[in-house]
Amino acid sequence: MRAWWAKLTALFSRHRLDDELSAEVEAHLQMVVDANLDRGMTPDEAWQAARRGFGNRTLIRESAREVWIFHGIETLLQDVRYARRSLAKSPGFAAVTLLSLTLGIGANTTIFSLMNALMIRPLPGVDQPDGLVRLTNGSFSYPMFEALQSRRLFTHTVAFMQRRIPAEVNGTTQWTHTELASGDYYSALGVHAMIGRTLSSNDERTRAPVAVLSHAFWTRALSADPGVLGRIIHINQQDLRVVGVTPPEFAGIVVGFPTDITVPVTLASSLLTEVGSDILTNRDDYWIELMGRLPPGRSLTQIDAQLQVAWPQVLAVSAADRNRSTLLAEGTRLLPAGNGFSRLRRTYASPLYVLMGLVGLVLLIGCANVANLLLARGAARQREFAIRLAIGAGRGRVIRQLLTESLVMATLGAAGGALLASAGARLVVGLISVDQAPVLLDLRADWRVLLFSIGVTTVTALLFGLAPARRAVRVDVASSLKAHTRVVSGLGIRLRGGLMIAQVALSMLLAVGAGLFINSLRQILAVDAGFDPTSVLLVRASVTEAGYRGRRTIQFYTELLDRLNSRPTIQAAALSLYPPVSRGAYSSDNISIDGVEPRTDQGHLALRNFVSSRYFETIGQKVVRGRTFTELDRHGAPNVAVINETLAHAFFGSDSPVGRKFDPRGGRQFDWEIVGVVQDATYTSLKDQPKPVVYVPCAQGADVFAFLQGRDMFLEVRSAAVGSFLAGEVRETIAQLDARVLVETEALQTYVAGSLAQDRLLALLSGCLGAISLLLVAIGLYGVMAYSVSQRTSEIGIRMALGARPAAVLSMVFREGFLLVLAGVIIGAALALASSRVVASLLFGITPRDMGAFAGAAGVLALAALFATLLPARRAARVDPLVALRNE
Amino acid sequence: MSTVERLSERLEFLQGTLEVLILRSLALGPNHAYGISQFLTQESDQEFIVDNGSLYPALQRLLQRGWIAAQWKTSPNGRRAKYYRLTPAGRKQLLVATSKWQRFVLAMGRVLASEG
Repeated sequence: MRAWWAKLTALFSRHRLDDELSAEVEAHLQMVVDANLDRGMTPDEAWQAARRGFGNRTLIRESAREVWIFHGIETLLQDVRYARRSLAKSPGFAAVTLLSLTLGIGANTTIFSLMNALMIRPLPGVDQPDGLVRLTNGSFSYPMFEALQSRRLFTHTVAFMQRRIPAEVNGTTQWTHTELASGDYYSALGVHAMIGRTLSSNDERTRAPVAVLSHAFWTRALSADPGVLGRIIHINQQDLRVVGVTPPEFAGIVVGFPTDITVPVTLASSLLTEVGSDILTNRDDYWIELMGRLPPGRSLTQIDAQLQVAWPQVLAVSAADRNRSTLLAEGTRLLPAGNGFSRLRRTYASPLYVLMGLVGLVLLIGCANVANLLLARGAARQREFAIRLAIGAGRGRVIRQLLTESLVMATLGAAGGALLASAGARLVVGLISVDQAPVLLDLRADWRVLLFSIGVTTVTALLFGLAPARRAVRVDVASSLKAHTRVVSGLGIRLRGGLMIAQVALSMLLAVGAGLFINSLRQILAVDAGFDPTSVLLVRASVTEAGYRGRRTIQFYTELLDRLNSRPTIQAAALSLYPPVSRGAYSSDNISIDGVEPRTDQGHLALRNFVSSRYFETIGQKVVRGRTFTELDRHGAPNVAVINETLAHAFFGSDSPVGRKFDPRGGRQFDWEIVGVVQDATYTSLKDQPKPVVYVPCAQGADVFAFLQGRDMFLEVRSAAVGSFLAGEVRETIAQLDARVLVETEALQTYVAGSLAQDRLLALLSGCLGAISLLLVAIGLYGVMAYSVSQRTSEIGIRMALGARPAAVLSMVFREGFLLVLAGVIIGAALALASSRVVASLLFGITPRDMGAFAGAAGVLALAALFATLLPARRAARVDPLVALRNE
Repeated sequence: MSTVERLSERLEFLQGTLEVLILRSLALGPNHAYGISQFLTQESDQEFIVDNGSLYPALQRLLQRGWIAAQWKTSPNGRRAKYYRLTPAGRKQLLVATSKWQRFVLAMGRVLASEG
């Protein structure tokens, strides 16, 4: 132990060893000088002769020190070789251990690499990302950006927005992520062009029709054409001249959705179909995000303090008077932006934290499993340790050897885990890719992931290795060598029982979590959506981007509907501004109804959707009263509207609203007539409570609401035809009308399911983790029970010799296992109750104390325990008393 | 002083021999590095001149194996020096190594003589 300690301290205290060596060498030299003086040399001669004969003192010190370093490495290699041999000798043990560790470490690395990619990793290709900051609370208007920029709080002030829009390159139109950015964008990021140039402030000021392509887009859309500069691409019928390509490592600043094209932000009104021509001066349009680079040497806190002073002044010149007080009260704050912007972060941050906790539990269970196996193995290897201690191995040396074995196993587990993680992380990204644009996260392992897995591996090895190693060397050398039979140590059994209970408790916690998320998802799926998404195809066509404006947009859609509705395979086709489950997007406004005041707290506020005739028929939303829209409810005909049950109830209670007049703009012009009431349907998300909704025919709505003329609509098509065939038919019909229009289709059912991505992710992953933990617990319990039975073979033999029947022995073993599991389940349930607050916000329709989840978890654990105990119990019952006693 | 004809070069230590010789020198009692190198030079009739670049690493290796131990003491002429002494394990090792060397020398001698 002392020698080991000396080596360890030598490794860590280089300096002390060095000081000591140099003192020794100097003393040595002094003695040579003394001897030379005795021989009659002058002091100068004596020194010179001594130095000459002595050799290079620094070299001597270094070579003496190296002895220690090489020794350390050599013994480590020796230990590793030994560990490999001893693992190879027991393949069953090695397999179970590796499985436990691979699953545990792999699950942890999976979740961590997702968190890393989504939340931690600094933007690649960006110069000094930690100097980037953003302003909180959503979007800002362009005047706000200009006012902030003139305050010069930042070295660079940047405005940007990313949009998924079609672009025509090389004669083909394709979807792109286009970023509209202010002139300082690339200077702020410190990104230089690989070919040509990036955007400049001049481009922003002069509204230059130029575009900078990303390396990925340049490669994908232009086959990395070296003569790309000067080529023209088209967005929304506008010509844009390519002036540069960014380097391959830079992928924009929106995590998950790499930017393809960057254009000056001042082109917004000509490139975006839904914004007005006054977008750059409009004080009510909040559409850009703000970012800045901190001046060198200034901290975020310092600049934030300055921002708090400057913000009211910014708002004084940039906000509309009626909004100013709201905006002032809301305020703004600086946050670090070095890890980019992400809309995924909001949705998936808390699920990822919860999952990180769950995978941590799985790893702990795995560790307990391996520790248990090691304890059993330690008992079997007791004689080996006793011999090694007897022939003079230090206890420290044996502990070190055992810990090296643990580390070797953990490292192998980590290697397997890394493979598992790369597959797992991709799977998860697939699960959250629910929008039309797939999520592209950079999942490559970087030093953070590496450091994380090294850390996890080391901690894991210590967790499962230390206790068994310390127990292993606590043997009484004399008695273990003398005894013929193995010495059963009560402490080992107690420790193993304790570990088993802890394992069951953790597994219970996990199983309850899984049960909660699965039940929550079931609750959501059981919600009556109020419409029938089966056999409906959802279609998005980029009509406005193909150049349609104003009434021509409506005409295009009307013509399209006529053609689709005349096809024999199509039962009904309709349009709506928002699809049935819109994932958040919905416009709302106050309405007022002639002579009636709302009876609920909701007040006058109602959601608004613009739909064509046959919409309700197409999506299968039932009519409760009156009628729905027909072809006759067109431009010029009397204005009509349909409301939903919640709105009808809010204003009219049980009276009929049909025939009443109202103003959908909240004013006093009651020139719209309510002609029908439809059943409540889910609007923004399946999890929402029903809200009051007004449906307006889009042909009539376009007269009153100008914005409708510049908006793409969703197309819903109901047909018994197979999805892909139907989609082909729709595409063909649209292409006949205008080949430039890009079409995207998706089954409405898939679209609806997409809004549940977060819930599905949690239910699926926690379910998987729960299953893994059950497997591990079952293996662990089997190990403990089998060991206990084998230790008690002679006791069981005596009991049977004295008349115990096999059934009694069977129940004795079951009782032992059952008590362990019961204790674990109770502790686990208590833990789950205590930590229920953490998951409450992620659940729908159930409380975190859901009885079903608790009962189910306990039941599943009991079942797993039953199976794990079955084999050892049967072996115990089959003990032959004669054989057992003969061994005694 | 020497009866043996001087070789043009001094003898090199074979692998591991210096360690044995150090153990041997310490069998007489604790000594410091300078004392050990003086002892080896004198006892070998100046055949072995100990290079400090080999002596110090050898001392560290012996410390590692627990065959010697070290302690700072004041030498008779009043200098502080690090004194090495044999541990019981070192004493055992010296016996083992000595008998091995003697067998080795005898065997070498026999083979070389039969050839001559």
